[in-house]
Amino acid sequence: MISKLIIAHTSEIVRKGLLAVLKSYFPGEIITLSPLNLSAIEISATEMIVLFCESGFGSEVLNQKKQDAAVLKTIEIVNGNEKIGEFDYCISLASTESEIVKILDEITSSEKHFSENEGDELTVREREVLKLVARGFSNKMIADKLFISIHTVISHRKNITEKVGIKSISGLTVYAILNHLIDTSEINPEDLI
Amino acid sequence: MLKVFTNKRKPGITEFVYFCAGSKFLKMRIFAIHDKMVNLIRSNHNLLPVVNRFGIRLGFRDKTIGEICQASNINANFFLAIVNTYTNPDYFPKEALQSFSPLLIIQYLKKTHQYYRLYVLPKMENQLDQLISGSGENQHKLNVIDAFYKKYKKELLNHLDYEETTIFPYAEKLINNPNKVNASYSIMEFEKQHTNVEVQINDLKNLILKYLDPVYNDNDCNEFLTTVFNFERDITDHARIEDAILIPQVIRIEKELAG
Repeated sequence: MISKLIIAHTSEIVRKGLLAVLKSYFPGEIITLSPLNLSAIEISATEMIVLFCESGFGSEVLNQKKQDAAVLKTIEIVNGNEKIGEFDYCISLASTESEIVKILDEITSSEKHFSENEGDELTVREREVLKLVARGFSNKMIADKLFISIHTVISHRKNITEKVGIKSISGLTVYAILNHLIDTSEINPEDLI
Repeated sequence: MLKVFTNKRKPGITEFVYFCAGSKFLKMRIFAIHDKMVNLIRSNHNLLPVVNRFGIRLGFRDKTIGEICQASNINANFFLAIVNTYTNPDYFPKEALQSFSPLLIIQYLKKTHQYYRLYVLPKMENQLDQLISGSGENQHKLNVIDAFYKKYKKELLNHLDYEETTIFPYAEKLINNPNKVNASYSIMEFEKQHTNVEVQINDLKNLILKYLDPVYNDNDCNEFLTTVFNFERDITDHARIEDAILIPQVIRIEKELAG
């Protein structure tokens, strides 16, 4: 469940417009501000935030906030048609209300697990996926082994990364070894990494 | 709303760039040509290795940035662009940066590589070895982290080599000898091989911060982590210059040459 929405745009009109649209859809807190003040916003590690941000602003701040929050989904507000930055989604000044709401729906349903899991404790399934990732199996092989779809495997991997804060495969392997998820009595850990 | 305040009593001296909304202010200090070099360093001593890359060394006295750059034949505007973006991650005037010659940028990037190869990586390795040898029983966990670091180092060095032997010479050739460049090559081919080295250094940091057992020497560990943090900051800035400035510049030149 989304904790709060943030609208970061230099134009007051755009902020107010987006706020009006989102208010009737989202009952929680909606913060509006200039993107230049983003670093002042405090986000806790239990929060799931959706951030609408104007093109061209503070990628460094966004990366920092991504690390602070439990989940941060970013939506770029562009002038033209193309997604410019590394955002999860993109809307333009020509987007309709229903297009914007559709994106929020998508985010909500893709993060349904969020309220179920807390802290960095991995679920049983996630641990199973992690072990296979660490042993070098591809997504397809993992999907086959666990009788799930590749889409689900990718989703699990994203969740794992978000929970443990490790992105690379070799990093995840180290995590698995350090947390005794892999039996290293027979395998030399150094070979795995 | 962005307001720029300059000190009217001392024209041309440091601009404070204020971002304000309501009563909140965020201040970025942007250094200018008449500022003293010593004040630049005082405001952010992490810039010392950065200014070294321009061949600038200590004993600044009260000289301004402009004076020191002129005496050392350095493009002062380029120098300021580099140090200001390094200090303020949110400050990145792309167009201004892209207006500098790619040759200047490559020269700076090469010096940065030298700093990484000859100083930072050996130092990180020594500090990690020190941490491991001082930890006795906890060897197993740290050995795993050591293996991860060695893998990371290998990939990083490959990446640096690749840039030095392929990307930089290609860009230099495009500018100096465009006629001799093979028209079917493109920097986009090179870009496909761009590895995400910043991801792994971040992982290294998180693995130690989050998952290390408390059987190690605090000071040894802190020294190592400090080096990692500093290096991460430097290489993130470095990657930003390559990706957002040099590559687009080269793409533009390729387009111009293609007609």
